[in-house]
Amino acid sequence: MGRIAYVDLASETVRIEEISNELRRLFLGGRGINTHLLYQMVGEETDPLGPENVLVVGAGLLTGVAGIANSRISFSAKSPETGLLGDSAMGGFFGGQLRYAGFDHLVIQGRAKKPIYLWIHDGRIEFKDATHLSQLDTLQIQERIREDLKDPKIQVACIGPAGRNGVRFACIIHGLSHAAGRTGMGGVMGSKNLWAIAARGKTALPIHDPEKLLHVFQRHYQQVTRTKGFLASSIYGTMIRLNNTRTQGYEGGLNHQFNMMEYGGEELDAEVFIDKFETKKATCFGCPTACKHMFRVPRGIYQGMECEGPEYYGCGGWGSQCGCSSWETILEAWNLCAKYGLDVGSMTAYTAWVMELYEKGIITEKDTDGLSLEWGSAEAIIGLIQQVIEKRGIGKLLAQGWIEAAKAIGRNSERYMDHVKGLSIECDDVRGHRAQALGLATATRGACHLRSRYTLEEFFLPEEATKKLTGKPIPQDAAVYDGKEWACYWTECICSIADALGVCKFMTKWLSVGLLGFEEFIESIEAVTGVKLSLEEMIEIGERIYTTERLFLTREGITRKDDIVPEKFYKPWTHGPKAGTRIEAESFEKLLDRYYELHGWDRNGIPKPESLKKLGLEKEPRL
Amino acid sequence: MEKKEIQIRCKACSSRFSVLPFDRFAQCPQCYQEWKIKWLDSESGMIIAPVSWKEYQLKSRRIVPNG
Repeated sequence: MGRIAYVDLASETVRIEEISNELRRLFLGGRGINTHLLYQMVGEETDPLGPENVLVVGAGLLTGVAGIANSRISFSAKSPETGLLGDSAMGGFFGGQLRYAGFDHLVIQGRAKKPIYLWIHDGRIEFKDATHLSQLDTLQIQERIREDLKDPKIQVACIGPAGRNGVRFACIIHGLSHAAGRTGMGGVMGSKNLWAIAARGKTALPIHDPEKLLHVFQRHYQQVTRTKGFLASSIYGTMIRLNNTRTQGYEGGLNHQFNMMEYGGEELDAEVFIDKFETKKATCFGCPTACKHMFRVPRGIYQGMECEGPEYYGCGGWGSQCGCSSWETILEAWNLCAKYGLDVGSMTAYTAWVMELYEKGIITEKDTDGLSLEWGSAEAIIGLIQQVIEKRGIGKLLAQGWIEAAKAIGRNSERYMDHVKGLSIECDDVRGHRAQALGLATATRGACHLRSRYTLEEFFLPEEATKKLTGKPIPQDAAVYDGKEWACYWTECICSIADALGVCKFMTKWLSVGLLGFEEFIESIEAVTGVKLSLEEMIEIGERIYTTERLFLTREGITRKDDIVPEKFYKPWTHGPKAGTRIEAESFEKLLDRYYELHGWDRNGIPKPESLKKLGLEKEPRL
Repeated sequence: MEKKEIQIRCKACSSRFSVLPFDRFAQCPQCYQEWKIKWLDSESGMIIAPVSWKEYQLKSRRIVPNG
């Protein structure tokens, strides 16, 4: 069911294969099939920015199908930012259009001789000249392609100046700010001289039982729209976390030196943003939440600036992490990153990092082309983005990724970057939440909240509730280590499945107990494919996807020594209701032991042969 | 008809306390922190912010050994 197109950019040829039922059964689609293909097609010798890297684009099994938030599409490649597994997903409308145009997955290989874009429609893939797009930003590229092809309904995923200039943390943008942000997938696309992928389709997706699907959709709609999680998301979106992390004292402050700022709350509050800047809500395919904010700056130096966003990690990243409490500055920075195609997660973390280096005297204005990197400085925040794009000053180093930048700067500068497996951690500080800390340490694309953060740990759920939800009781107290390996494992499975199906995690039990979970996924899969999976089979598929990703990491030399939290997390929180909380090394190592055992990995974090056999992965390329 | 009280959890001390639907402000009886409440519907109230961010942020600093 469905098709994969193997696209060779160098020879401008396409080979098409049907997706076998077996592959669907093992990996479903989206991130699942992407990971399987990527693991087969790249190796430890692959240069992430070389033509031999492979960019796999994959819509989920339910993407574009009538249902709740079935919008997601994943982009996977070897990451130019971390040198390890790269994978990032976006919502919006592009994923559905790719499927309607006749393809579920694209495997993009080689490097085009000149800038091109792919035009995908009616089961065909055309290679189009993109030279005229080379000076445009992401928004302009999308508009220009629609004009060129004379169809306003074409959906485009593209890169901007960052991707074209080889910035290692460039992202792929669709619409105003739907981003496949983390791990530098835009950099891979740029290295292939591929400026954009445009899709428009009219083919109906094959649905096994349309009537049942409609019934399931209606029931899921009634279920999710009654939940508190849905209602809160529909007002605040991810920005609710800005207030929550600050009031409870787990926001990162000044590059994670503090866990709560002592100023700025009066301005940098989600309610203030909604009152002063929000003009309306926006949404992705099939989602009743409309968690995205359209905004307009009414006055000041950015008067009239309009965009969509910002998400929490932009608000907290430039806010508490960089000491900035000006909404206008944050909104302008967000807008620039969207237009240039820069990953906000990395840009904010890099900014906080160099601000701390500046504070400590490790870098000076000589290194920054005269830019003063004072905490909270609007000139610094905006100036750094410009420097990265123009590859000048300290931005020239940052464009190469923080790992290369730290080597060039020297003087132990790498100690001030908080990361896991090369990917910078985001603005919240999870040292007081043990399951979340474990998820951060072990996430397969490096530090990541969307793979294994047990969000429910923040909600004080009683053990009987977590037993009903996950199958095993999980201690209510966030500070307890016992039992948290299961919380992390369950989260990995539900996140893997959501990504393989193309369902937004913000509509799943990852976020709130009343939203979609395995049972609802089973109903949707049965209506679409006719195959009824059991709960055990769903967990096994999630485990299979995660273990394949772990195999990828193992091949790259990742072991237990890399499953760690940043050094700062072993020091106590300085502020707030839980001041004094820190990670205790011995307890954390025991938790890691139990986590490996649950997965069937050895004490070094390497999957055991018998575990691979159980998952049907024994034939995967060996290490 | 009497309004049904709703339980919410204080974000400062984590204890639960009761509020009446659509009350815009509430004080935690345990730690006395004052909060602004957002009502999503008559049964879903949530703390959205302290009444005074400035006061809350300033008093949040604690003396932490080795901190």
